[in-house]
Amino acid sequence: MIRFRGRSLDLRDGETVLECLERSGEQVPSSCRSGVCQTCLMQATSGDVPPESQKGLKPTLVNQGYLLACACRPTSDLELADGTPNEVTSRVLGTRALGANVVQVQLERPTGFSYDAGQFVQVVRPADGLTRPFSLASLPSEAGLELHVAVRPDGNMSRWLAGAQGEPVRLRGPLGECSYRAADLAASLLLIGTGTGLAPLLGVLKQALAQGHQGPIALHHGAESFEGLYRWRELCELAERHANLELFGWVGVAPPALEPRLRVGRIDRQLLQNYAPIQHAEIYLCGNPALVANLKKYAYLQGASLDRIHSDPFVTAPAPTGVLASA
Amino acid sequence: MTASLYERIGGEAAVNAAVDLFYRKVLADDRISHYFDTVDMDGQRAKQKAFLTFAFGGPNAYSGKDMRAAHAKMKLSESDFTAVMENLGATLKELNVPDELIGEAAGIAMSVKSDVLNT
Repeated sequence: MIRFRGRSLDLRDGETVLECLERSGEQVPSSCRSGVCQTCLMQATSGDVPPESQKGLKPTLVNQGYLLACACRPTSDLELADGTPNEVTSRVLGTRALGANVVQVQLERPTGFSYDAGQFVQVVRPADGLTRPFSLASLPSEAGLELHVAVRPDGNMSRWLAGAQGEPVRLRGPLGECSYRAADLAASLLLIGTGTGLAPLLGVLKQALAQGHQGPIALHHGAESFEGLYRWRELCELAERHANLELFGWVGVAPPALEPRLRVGRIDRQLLQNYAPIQHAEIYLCGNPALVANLKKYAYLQGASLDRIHSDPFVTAPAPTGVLASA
Repeated sequence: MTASLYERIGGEAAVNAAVDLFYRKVLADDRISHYFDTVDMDGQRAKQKAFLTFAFGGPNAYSGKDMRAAHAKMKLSESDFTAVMENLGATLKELNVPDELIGEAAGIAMSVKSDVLNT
């Protein structure tokens, strides 16, 4: 039996999930019907997912219970998500200015809310339903949820959040697959982010270190000015304590004191060109959308596997300007 | 009975071996890269996988009507089609697929030419 959109549907002998849903009058997108094109991708929220329905899916999707409906002949009852994520109630516990118009927002973690470091949530303002995505910088082992919000003059949500201490919010999620995979502790990790794109990278980085990651980790954080490297001191301390962590800060304007880990210039594809382990590395790209798209394509052309390139498909930054614009 | 092209060419494993080679080639081909260049690279890669499965004579649900509708707005030219065929051939050569099988795969891909070009 499968449960979907509040209905319980009985499977006929040998029937796939896709066939059963269609027979029951549910509209589900599909194309090749042979487990190849991934159009009929769905997520099981409970039940045993048959491995043959997960062939070819990214490991991060497999871990989250995703399956191909056309190749799925269930062996147990399955509960299927209908694409709209769970919504839960939370509250803004506190806010703290981090510099360069970035505000750290601490949210109450709703009871039973579980997530992987690096995932994101949709934050909903209860008054009018205004909704924006924000990555989680906190670890699942921490009590609260931490967001990094770039406050913009025209940012409805960001300006409100920055002063919303004590206000209730609703959260949808967790979403996305930009999270740490502990499957290979020796893997090379390359983390590249601009602006508040650091938030998910911080989650991934802290999770990797907490799980005892052994392979080399390189983190590049880019911003217009040194103030925009808003967690720089903390990152430097982490790099001091972990020999396998290499840290680079990229700034458009030279700071008064140029520390060894700082570079004046922009993050661009050259960084990938000089990165030897690219073919086997797990690569995380977050921040400026144009730069992320550019680096993702270039990493792939350089031999990186798409399964190992992690970036979330939402826009948190305005159109690229100045030093952060991609080449 | 002779085995199908899909079986002789190596089935799903062959598709998996070919898909990244092929997608990288079309992405790097200035003549046609703009058709393949999208933020949703995972989705685009899955499309290339479906195409290769089709060209290798494998299981698929491609119909002429789908092909026509999917490409209608792209206004592709003869030379665009030729470029894709060249990249398909080069991919299979790189994988040391025998010429005769490459010819068969090319024949299958050719069979949808008029649908793709909407002629």
